[in-house]
Order: sequence, then structure tokens, then C-alpha cells
Amino acid sequence: MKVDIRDLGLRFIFGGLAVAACYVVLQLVPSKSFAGIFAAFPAVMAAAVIMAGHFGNSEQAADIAFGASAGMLGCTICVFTATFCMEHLGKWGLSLGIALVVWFFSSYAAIMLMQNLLEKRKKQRNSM
Amino acid sequence: MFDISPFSLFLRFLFGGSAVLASTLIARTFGGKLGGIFAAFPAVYLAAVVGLGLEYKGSELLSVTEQLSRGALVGMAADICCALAASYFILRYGWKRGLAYALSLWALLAPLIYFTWFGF
Repeated sequence: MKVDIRDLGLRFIFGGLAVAACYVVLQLVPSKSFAGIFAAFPAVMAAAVIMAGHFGNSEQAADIAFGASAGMLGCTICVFTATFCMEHLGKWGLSLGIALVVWFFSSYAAIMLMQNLLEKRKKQRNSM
Repeated sequence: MFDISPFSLFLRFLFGGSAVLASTLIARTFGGKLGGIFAAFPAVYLAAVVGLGLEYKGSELLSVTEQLSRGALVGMAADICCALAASYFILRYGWKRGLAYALSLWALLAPLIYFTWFGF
């Protein structure tokens, strides 16, 4: 496994800033749900695009952003499941556990779908 | 209302950063499709939810997490639009301007969806 300190550092800073911003908004704004927007900041995608663009080219960065939409679809289903379970089961830990299982399977399905779309897009680009 | 402790802020920064870092390292270790799934692990969301667990307990924790999750759901919807827009903008304007446009779109779209959905 190749470890790139700059890549890892960038992800650490983006992830940390998003959670810290979420905490600040949670304290400053009376609406707790508005702060939740920052819990969904696309930190991982931004760091991955910066690294791909910096060390590769714009086409690689564009493909990473396109593929990331699959993961985000899985994350959306995960958060939806967590909200639904907390509302109906009333158990914090169990709801988060179920949401993570749902996240795994929905992300896998979304990634399979997105990989097919990426292959098609690359073929289209090469034939142009 | 303005009770922001620097220690709590730093703790959350460390927590969020570590969660993203851990998911990246797991993704790299597994590689392939499994690695791809972990590359999109909702680390920031989970770090924020676990952060709430440090501050709230019982039914209050459940209620605050539910509210935060509603906002995160809006953010995730904006994320999907942001990622698809980034893919388009990067090919058109290059990765620097493309990413800046896509993140600006996210910053605009997330509050817009939120206020349209939940009202002011």
C-alpha cells in the first residue's frame, strides 16, 4: 500500500474542518438540523479530486468526481435509514448499526452501476 | 448560546480528520470494489453523530441526532449534484476552476434545498 502523506494530510484537514464547522454551527444556530448540512460536506471527494488533478490530469479528476456520486448515493440512503430508524425504533446505537449495514449494500450496488457508466463514458471519449 | 469550547472544537477536528483518514486507509488496504465502497464511507457524518454522543444522552441524544441527520440528508442530496457537476465542470474548465465551481454550487444548493424543504 502506497502512503502519500500530502493526500492523507489533506483528507485529515478537510474531514476535521467539516466536523468542527458542524459543531460551531450547532452551537451558534438554534436549528440543529441546519448544522447537519456540514456533516455531509464532500470532504473526501474534494481531497481526492485535488490529488488526482495535481498529480494526474483533469480527466482523471473528473472520473473520480463522477464515481464519487455513487458513494454519495449510498451515504444518502445510509442517513435516510438512520433518520427513519431513530424515529421509529428510538434506539441510537441500533439505528446507526442498521444504517451502516444499509450503507454497505447500497454503496456496492451504486458502485457497480457507476462503474458501468464510467466504462461507457471512457469508450465514448476514446472514440471521439 | 455562544458556548464554544476550544478543546471541544479541537477534539471534533481530530475526530473528523481521523475518521476520514481511517476510511481512506481501509479503502487503500482492500482495494478494488470493496476499497471503492470504503472510499465513500460517511466518515464526516458518523464523526459528527459520535461527537453528539459526547455531549448529549438518552432521548435528547436521539432527538438531536435525528435533527442533525435531517440536515445531513439535505447535504447528501446536494453532494450528489455537486459530484456530477464537478465531473462536468472539471472536463470543461480544468480541475481547479471545476472543483471551485462545484463546491460553490454545493454551498448554494445545500441551504437552498434545506430552506425549500423545511422552510425558514
